[in-house]
Amino acid sequence: MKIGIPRALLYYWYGFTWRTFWEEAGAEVVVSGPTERSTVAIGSKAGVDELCLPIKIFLGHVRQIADQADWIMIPHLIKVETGAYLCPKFMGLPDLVYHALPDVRDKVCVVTVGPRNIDMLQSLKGAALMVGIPERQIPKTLDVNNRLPALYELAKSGYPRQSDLQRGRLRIGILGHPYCIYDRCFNLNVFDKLNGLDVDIFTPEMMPGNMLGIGSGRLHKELFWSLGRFQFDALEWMIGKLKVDGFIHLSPFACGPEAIIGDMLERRIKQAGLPILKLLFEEHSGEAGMVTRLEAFIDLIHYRSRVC
Amino acid sequence: MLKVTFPHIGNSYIPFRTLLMELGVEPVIPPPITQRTISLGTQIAPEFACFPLKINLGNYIETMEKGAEMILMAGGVGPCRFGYYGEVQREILQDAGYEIDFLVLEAPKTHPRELWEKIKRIFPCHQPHDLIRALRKAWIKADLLDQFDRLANHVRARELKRGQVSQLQARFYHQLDQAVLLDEIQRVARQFMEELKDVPTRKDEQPLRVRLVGEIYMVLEPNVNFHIERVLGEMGVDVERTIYFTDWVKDTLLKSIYDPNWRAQMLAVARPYLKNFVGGHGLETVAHTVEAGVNRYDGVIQLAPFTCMPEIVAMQALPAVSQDLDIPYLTLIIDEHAAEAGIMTRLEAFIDLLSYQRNSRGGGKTREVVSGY
Repeated sequence: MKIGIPRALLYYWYGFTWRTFWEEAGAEVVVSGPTERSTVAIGSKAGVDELCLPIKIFLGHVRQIADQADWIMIPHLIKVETGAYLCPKFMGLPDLVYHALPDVRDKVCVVTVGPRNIDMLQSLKGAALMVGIPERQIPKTLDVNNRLPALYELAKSGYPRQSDLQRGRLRIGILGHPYCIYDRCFNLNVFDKLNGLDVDIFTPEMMPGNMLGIGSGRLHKELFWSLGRFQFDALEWMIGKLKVDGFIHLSPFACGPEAIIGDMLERRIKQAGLPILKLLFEEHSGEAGMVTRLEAFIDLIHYRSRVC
Repeated sequence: MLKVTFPHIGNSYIPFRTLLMELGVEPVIPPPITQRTISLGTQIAPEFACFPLKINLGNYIETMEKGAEMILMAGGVGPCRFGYYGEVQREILQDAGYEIDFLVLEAPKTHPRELWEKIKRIFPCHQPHDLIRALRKAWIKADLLDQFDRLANHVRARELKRGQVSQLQARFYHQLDQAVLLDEIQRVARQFMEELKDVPTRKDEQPLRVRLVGEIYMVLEPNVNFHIERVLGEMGVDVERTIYFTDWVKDTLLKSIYDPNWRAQMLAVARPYLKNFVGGHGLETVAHTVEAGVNRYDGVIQLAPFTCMPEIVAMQALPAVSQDLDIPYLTLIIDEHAAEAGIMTRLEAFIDLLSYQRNSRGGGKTREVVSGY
């Protein structure tokens, strides 16, 4: 039996977790290839115009692996931690897929996590039973904190490991949702461009586990989006421990939560006296515009560090 | 006296004024939403924040010009962005150099006492009987307003002299806003309900029936949705609004306490198209559209602010509903760049299509004769 997993959205967090689970359960796993322009084109044709780019990319991936797999796993992540949602679009994801791609409907295997029970192993178990895997084959344990796929994607772009860090190089903190940071087609390969500019980059996923909950805990009101909380934790880590020189915030055009989170992050970064570059991406983003802005931004930080 | 203000949402300023007055503070009502309000809000709000947030900010700035000292705002726990409005707006105003207190009314984090302490500190009349009286009076006003509006939409589609109902409605709002004593409130309401029922109407033809669904703020606030109810009504369309302020309060505040499964019916109706709650009014939009299709309405109009996440999920589901149940729908996305002419053209075209469809099906005037089912 072949289980298809779309390489989109929170695959970059839970991808290896899901993969190991299905492999241990005796299924063959097919992960869709990295996003390409054609994926984006298929996705934007399938969904309504108002959807954000990551969801369109997700639809594109689903369409692309639909022919290679017997079942397509649709992660229906309502909540992955108590007290916080992901995004309304994640909550309606299976229905978005049904309506945008009616022909894959029979192949869909939904893994619902939340809203009451946030145990991913149980949700995966339910899905495994649904596709006909006998109960004795289903694994009993699961490592949900395996955030490797994200870093793996990063390493592919030639990012230097922690031990290779050089003194005196500029440190740039990247903020954004994992599927914005690690999807190289989405962000027009921002990492390669940054590597060319000779800076060290840090992403929220590199944050050690003991920093979790510190930054978001300082907020006046508890935030109810997991991806937002994670960014505030990362911000605290990057400003407090890493002493980064500047931030780049990657977000999809018209992203709902990021409109609010981005604004609050920006305010805190400004209070810390650091520069921030906000990049918005949609299916019409052009590379030239982004490169110019990146170069100008890095030049500006260089200039600042020399003056101060 | 402490001057307290709150953002506009539809006609709710009338019950809010009563509530604040009864609690012993001075209400500052924001001026009606105009282009100035919108541009003031847009200037300091994040670009992709939803439209209601920007308008709220505009309201705050305009009330601060009138001397407001405290803002009353509701909160929530997601996943819709509305739950975090209070926090972001506080930060934005602070950054823009305005000094003002925020009172965000929401379920307390630690202990129910927390909310009580807040209320006690701010409102001079905070004894239980004061609170009950204030809430009761405000609720009665809100309820009467909604009753009147429901009937007004119905009558407006049939009025003989165009604009009569709207005039009456404006007069009713004004009189009810002025009324203080309970007797007075009841009398005003009775009198205007009678007048509304006496408005001369056409009896011969059945007007088109259209349902208004979508995001609550866009549906409730006429100054933002280009007075869609009035415009449609005066085109001779019987508009049924699916969201009313009192219903919303009843559902989210009361029903969630004594009947945690209050969404069950809606979920069941929307189930073939949308299986779970997606925040905001996304589920309601789909459920009400299904209902409209089943009950043979002529059309559905969905209103949403730009980038509204729950409504986008609903948008993806609506084409399937429309096809299965043969119900035409029109989505209007509104933000600070929406222009009246564009909205009107689309509304007129949609209504034309609906009436064409009805006539071509042998409906219209003759439909009343072939009754029987």
